[in-house]
Amino acid sequence: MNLTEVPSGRKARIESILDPVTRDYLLRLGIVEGSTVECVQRMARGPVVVRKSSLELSLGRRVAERILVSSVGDDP
Amino acid sequence: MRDNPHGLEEIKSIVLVGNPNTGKSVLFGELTRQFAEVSNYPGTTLLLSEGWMADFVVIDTPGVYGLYSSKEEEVVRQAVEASGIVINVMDATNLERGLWLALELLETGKTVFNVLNMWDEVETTGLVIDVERLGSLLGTPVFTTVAVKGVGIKELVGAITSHMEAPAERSLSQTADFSLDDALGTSELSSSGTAEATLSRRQRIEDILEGVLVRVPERRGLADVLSEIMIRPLTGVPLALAILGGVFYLIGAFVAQDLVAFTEGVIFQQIYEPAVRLIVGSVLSGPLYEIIAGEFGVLTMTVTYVLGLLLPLVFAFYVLMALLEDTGYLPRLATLADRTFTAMGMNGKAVIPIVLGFGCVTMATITTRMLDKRRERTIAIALLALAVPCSAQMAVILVLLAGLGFIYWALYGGILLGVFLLIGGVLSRIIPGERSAFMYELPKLRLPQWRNVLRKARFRTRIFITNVFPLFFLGALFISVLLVTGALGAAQQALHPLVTGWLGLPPEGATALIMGFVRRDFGAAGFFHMALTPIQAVVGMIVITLFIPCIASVMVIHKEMGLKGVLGILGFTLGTAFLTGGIIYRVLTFFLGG
Ligand SMILES: Nc1nc2c(ncn2[C@@H]2O[C@H](COP(=O)(O)OP(=O)(O)OP(=O)(O)O)[C@@H](O)[C@H]2O)c(=O)[nH]1
Ligand SMILES: [Mg+2]
Repeated sequence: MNLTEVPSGRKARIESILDPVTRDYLLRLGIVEGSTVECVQRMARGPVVVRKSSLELSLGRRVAERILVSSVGDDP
Repeated sequence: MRDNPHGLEEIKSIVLVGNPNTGKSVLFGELTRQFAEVSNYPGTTLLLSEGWMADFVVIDTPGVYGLYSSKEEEVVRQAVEASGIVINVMDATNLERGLWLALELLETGKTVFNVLNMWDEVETTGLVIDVERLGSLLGTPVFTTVAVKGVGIKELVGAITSHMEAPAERSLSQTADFSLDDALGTSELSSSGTAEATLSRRQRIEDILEGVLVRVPERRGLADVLSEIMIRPLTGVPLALAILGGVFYLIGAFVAQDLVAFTEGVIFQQIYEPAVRLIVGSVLSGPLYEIIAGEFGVLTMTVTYVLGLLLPLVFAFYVLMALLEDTGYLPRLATLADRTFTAMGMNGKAVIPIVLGFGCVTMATITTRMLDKRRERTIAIALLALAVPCSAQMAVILVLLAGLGFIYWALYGGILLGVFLLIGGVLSRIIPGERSAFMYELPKLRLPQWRNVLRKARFRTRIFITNVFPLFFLGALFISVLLVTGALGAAQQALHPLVTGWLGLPPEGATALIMGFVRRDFGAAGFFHMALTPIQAVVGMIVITLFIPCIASVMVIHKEMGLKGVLGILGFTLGTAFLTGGIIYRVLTFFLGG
């Protein structure tokens, strides 16, 4: 599952960040493989907005598609 | 500098470094009493700027996340290397993000003063940070500040000054609880380097956070709710339209009509101009009188337009723009518009220069530096030059269209938007190059700081007036000379097929177009005293809006894109302006009747 498939309001665990540039950027913001982020908003064919503690970040569609995640928490 | 035994030069400069939007420029303003642009979005400062604090040079830098990953970061790293002292500005409410850069800065061996800015927000949210422990973990002093209120600045300056006076007494970065070489697992300090180095730095950050974050509140305040309303398309799009409508209503209805009717109509046209005519008329007559106090007179028209009409409108625009910049709304608008902008070969970030273009296209052209790829910048610069009217131009156009009613405003706006989207789509197909990834941090929503808003609006207005006055002055002189020598009549004759045949404007429209070469708003002003049908008014306004950008913009474009870029943009805007104008004239005549 990639980040664009996480419903708004749900949390997800980052499993793998495929693009090295994205990886480098997110690493310095404190988002790495194993981090949990909340998906605040995903737009149809548009960006995904994620939140981790007080950081809010907008990630374009093509960026989010290359971030693999697993679901966390509320799932049965 | 390196070889200087006392390190004097080096010591005397202080560089402000930090993540984007942490308050470096506010701090710069506090330290140097010098104006720096401050806005609530990441990427406000894009170039180094220098100021003085007593006899130290203070350097403000663009926000970065590290020192080794890009060309922009390279510029900041060089500034760090050239300085004796580094002030690392962190957003206290987002320590995790700031520590990466903090560690990289410590590894340079420079003297680092860490600042936890936005301390007011720490207090209001209930976050608890053990500042002393952070200082001892980093091995350097940590100060807390509220830069916008000037809180904590004295302590910071005091510490820096006393360090300057006795730099040898304490070597600040040696007393850390841990060894940086251990943390890195290598003594190779010059890059974020190997995977292990990276991971251990990450681990170090986790450890520090563990030690200093005493309490982290669960936040779900009003700001979060508002933020979601702004970025959810269902609510965000109507909100964006409402803001746009509100801005134009305020400016168009209130400032452009009531206020300008007073400043231009009463103060300048009824009091100032007759007085000038009387005085000039008593000493001069004939062509000279015409040039100085006639229809396009340098003392009459120029002064009336610039001070009576443009000044209040441009200032009002800048105030609203500064309000918008201060709230943190723009990055959310960028998120909302990312899809549309992707279709035009850019990404959502380009929203910021485009919106700023409605204030001043020249400034916005510089702001395109925040876009990552060359292609995106080219497209954004071309669209700014073509289809984004700056505040001065909007001012004249609003006044001109004011009498025509809502439908013509909507027509003007709709046509402009259509051209913007269409040309954007075309450019994205014909300009080769990479796309860049959209990754943009959303700043906290904040209430505008009145002091900042007014200061910024004043500063920008002053620049505007000082740029525009001489241009209008020379432009008016030029047009008056053409008029009294009869050259204007000849030009109107020569341009007749284009102006009247193709665009359907009255022959005097040629004058306005010639004036448009001086500035687009000057050209728009040229339409003022012509009797135009509503269709002619719309066509005229569209042509003059799409017309070549002002000289200041051309100079910036030259700097950013070279001579070929400038020539390309000039040809492209002129061609598109005339092509669009002719088409619109025919379509409108067909539907609305001649
Ligand atoms: N509440 C609060 N807001 C602050 C404080 N310091 C700065 N701000 C706000 O934070 C925003 C960013 O400030 P800037 O000085 O432009 O930040 P910067 O670090 O120069 O940003 P870039 O140039 O984009 O890297 C502005 O809206 C400021 O009003 C503070 O201490 N408290
Ligand atoms: Mg700045």
